[in-house]
Amino acid sequence: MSLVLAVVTPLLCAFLIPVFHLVWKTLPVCLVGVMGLASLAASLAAACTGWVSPAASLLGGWPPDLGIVLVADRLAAPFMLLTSMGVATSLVCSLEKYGGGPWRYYAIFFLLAASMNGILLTADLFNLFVFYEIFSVAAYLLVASSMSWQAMEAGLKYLVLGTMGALFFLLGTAFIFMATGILNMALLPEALSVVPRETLTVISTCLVLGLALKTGAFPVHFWLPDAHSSAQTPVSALLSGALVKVSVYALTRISCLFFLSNGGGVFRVITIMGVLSILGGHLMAFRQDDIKRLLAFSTVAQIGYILVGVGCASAAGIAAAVFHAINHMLMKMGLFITSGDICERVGTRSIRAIKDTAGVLPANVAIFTVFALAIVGVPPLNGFMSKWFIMLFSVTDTGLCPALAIAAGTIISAAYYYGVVSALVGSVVRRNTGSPGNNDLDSPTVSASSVITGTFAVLCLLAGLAALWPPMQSSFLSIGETAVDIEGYARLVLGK
Amino acid sequence: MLMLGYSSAVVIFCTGLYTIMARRNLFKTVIGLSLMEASVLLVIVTSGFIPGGVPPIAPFRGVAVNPLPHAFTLTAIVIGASDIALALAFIVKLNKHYGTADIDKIRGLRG
Amino acid sequence: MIFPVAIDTFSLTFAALAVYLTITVSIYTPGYDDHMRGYGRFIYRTFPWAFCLFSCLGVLSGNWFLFTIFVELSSLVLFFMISISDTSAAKLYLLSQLAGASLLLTGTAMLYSATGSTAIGPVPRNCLWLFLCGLGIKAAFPVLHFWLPAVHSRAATPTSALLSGFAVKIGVFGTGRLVSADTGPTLLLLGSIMAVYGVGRALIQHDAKRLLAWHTISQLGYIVAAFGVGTPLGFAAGFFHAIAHGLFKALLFLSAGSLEKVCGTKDLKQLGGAAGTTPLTFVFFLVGALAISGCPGFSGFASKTMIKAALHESGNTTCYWILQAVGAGTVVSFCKMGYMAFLRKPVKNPARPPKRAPGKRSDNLRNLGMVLPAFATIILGLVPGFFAGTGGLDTHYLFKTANILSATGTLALGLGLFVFLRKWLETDKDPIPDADMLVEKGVVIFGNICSTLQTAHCGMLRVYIAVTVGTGIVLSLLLR
Repeated sequence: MSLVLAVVTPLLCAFLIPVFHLVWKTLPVCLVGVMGLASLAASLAAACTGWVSPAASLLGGWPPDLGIVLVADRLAAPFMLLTSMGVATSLVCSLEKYGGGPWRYYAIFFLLAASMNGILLTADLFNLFVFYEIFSVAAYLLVASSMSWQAMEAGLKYLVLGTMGALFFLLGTAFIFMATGILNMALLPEALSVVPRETLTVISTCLVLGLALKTGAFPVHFWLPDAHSSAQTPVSALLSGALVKVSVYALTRISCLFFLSNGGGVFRVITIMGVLSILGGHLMAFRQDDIKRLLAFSTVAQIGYILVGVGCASAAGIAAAVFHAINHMLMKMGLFITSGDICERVGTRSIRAIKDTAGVLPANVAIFTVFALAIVGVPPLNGFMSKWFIMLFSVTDTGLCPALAIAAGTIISAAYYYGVVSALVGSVVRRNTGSPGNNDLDSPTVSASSVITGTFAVLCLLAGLAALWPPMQSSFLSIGETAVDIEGYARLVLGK
Repeated sequence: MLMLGYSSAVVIFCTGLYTIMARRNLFKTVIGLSLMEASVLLVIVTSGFIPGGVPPIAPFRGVAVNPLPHAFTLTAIVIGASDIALALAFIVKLNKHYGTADIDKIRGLRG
Repeated sequence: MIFPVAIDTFSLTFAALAVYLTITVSIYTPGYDDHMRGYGRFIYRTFPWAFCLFSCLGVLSGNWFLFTIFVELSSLVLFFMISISDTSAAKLYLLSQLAGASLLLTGTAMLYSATGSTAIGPVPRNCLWLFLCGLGIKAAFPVLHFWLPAVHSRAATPTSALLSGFAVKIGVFGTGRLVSADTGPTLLLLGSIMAVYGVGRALIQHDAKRLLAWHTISQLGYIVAAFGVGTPLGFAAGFFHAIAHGLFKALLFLSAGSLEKVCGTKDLKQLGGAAGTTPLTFVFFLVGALAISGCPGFSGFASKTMIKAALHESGNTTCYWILQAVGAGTVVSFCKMGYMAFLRKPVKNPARPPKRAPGKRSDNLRNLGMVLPAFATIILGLVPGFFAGTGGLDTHYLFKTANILSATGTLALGLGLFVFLRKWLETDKDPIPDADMLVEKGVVIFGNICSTLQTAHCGMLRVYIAVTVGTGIVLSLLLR
């Protein structure tokens, strides 16, 4: 019961918002807040169910081979936690910045939240595709919601490339249906084992290409920098923090269920794309002058780290990848929200121009520096720990090349984050040496978003230290074990 | 019948792909996307065909073709329609800014 | 969670050295930065202790993972200290040390996958190169030393003292832990190259601190060669020289800093006659110079004698004669520095002394700070029993006539060469390319790759679609 609620609650909120708009021209902030809390509660309940007692719920009472099943297990639970934290943070920042005015924005926002929960919970391949499409359309709309020409262009490119990805995914699903006649993800691993080699090649190509495009892996990532940099700050934070992780979950789930026992080529390809993303993302970020575009390319690189972890095809590697996904959400959302604040105060997104202004607050710079140090990988923060685990397991499972790419990535990311932090510090120094006439930007307000970013900064440190604690390590290992345990998944879905 | 269905799907897919890659008008890109979607849906529907089958409407007078792909196709058509609608809305808005619907000229975000 | 430690004589002595040098620098710094205010001053007063903490935790850690973490943290602390005086040197330092730490981390990962544990100690051959490269960046092995001269000379003096005195020692400490049968010949070769190259470069330097930085590389070569011998005596000799070098190099840097404070420059061409104006600084410089040259009675003599004994004993005569020659070169170089800075008559256009001459209090603080390493150098020179004992060597051996003659012979040879070559040494030299050129070329190639990628992100949707289709074709080939 609780699993359906996780999808239905945000969906209901999304449909109720236009109704409420008929009553109130501007939605009261607390109304949207209550809706957000309800969605958060439902998602967290589903996440807890998945973690403590993995469960499946059959929709409509139909048996698993005929109907749609929603499953929450130990792999879905951390991703649900991640997305619900991301959605809640983004909602709070949006409410703070825009109030209750843009009702269409909130409607699409809740639609996005519902579809993310749907992707994470479903065990039916076509249902996954449907939720994926709702997710994508909502994402295109949110990217374009600021109505600036950059947002429109980014939205269009995201749409065209995203639709192509969805087409390949649909083609893959169609081929699976043609080959096996089943679409339930728990029954498919066994059914796919008798499918001929060539069909499996086509199926895997289509599925991997479609999902990689949505994830933002290197050769097919071109929509990501435009979309993540042109969107408004809360939307960018949500996109980089939560949306790409949902795609990573789908990729992990499908690769592990369908291709782990049928042909390990898929995981090799995922590792290759991971390495290319790390190098390509960091090299492109190095040259950027626009701070948000730099952060977007940094996201491409961090997705590369996660893909390298997934490509290990072992419980430990996938556990490390999930750990990095959570850490990256904390770091990247913090970076986007802080830099959004800074850019609004200073009026420009260009790093060179920020250096010459005097409007940056020291508190913002301090928090930004913590996140920058974390994402570069300075011990004992969480970014270092997750990078270490990915390096460790990828050396064991896939060889030395990804580890050397990670090492190179650390140096390049240190170089460009150093540039950003030194520009910010330069601006603070200018401010403290007293440029007259900037007093209107003086008062550092304690806003909800700064409380959240402060909390994330503290969480970064705690997560880093907790990673050395054995019970924490075994919890994460259980996530990885659930991912590779195909029979367990089948038992969960079919046994009920 | 099956071969006809699959081969026409391949032809339509390639037409759509060619349109997307070779034509510069944004509307043609959208049409190309629509063609590609249609071809995939054609593959899905054709996959459910049983030679000598009758439409899956009760009461049956023989073997009915598989109705499940029909359900998928309907869902996917709806999704495709909303995608196309959104794409067209973007094109209209972009035209206001750029003054053109030429895909090669719409490259403000680069580097 | 238990913190695995490796507490033995080796690590405890290094930790003690770290604390001793930090105390020295803490006493010296208030006499050096009295013109600074605000956060810069705060960093100079407090960060050396953070560096000390992380370094001690690093040398005491029992596995390579924790060692890497604490080494990285100590480099970060030093980075902040360097960035106050020179931001581009700080950036170079940060990036090079991060590279070293990342290579070490990769090596540790490989070690774990090969053996299942990361306990500190010798490593299997397949991950040895990663460890040597990672530690080599820290310890300035050939080619990997590209950052050292620039950073050590452009950092503020107390920071340079900590850098040359202890930070590079962490690298040789790690190398010492790595020593095994596999590493011997490699380390001997690296050590010899470092020693010769360092001294050769130092001879043509006119910047006092850059000269000292090149000598650091040269002396590290002694230590690495000693480790490369592979015997317990060699290990003890390298260990002793590391500690001794930490002390007298810190002393030399602090005296150069004092000179800079009083006379306003560190360019040897513009100095002269400082022995008259700052006699105490001259005395401390003399202690350090005599120690590094291997004059009997100072720690450098005892440690160098031990190194030479280890080499002789294991039959590496080529290396022995190379190090003897390098010793002579060291003497020449320090005669030059002492002569140009302190002994000769002031030049026609001396550097203008700083507007605000340092007061009596700051002079006293600086001199007091320099007393500590000077005292330790002399004590270790006269009573080297502790270190000699660890190598199984009798103290009396060090003071045998043959060894004293060898050391004084080198001194005399060096002095003679200096008198002969004095004019040549004072003239300017054309800069000979160094490893920096490789880094510059690398940066250019890196920039080209970035530009190529940037042109790929041209903003044209059709290009993106074509790349997507191309990727699909490549994937289908890879997934066959």
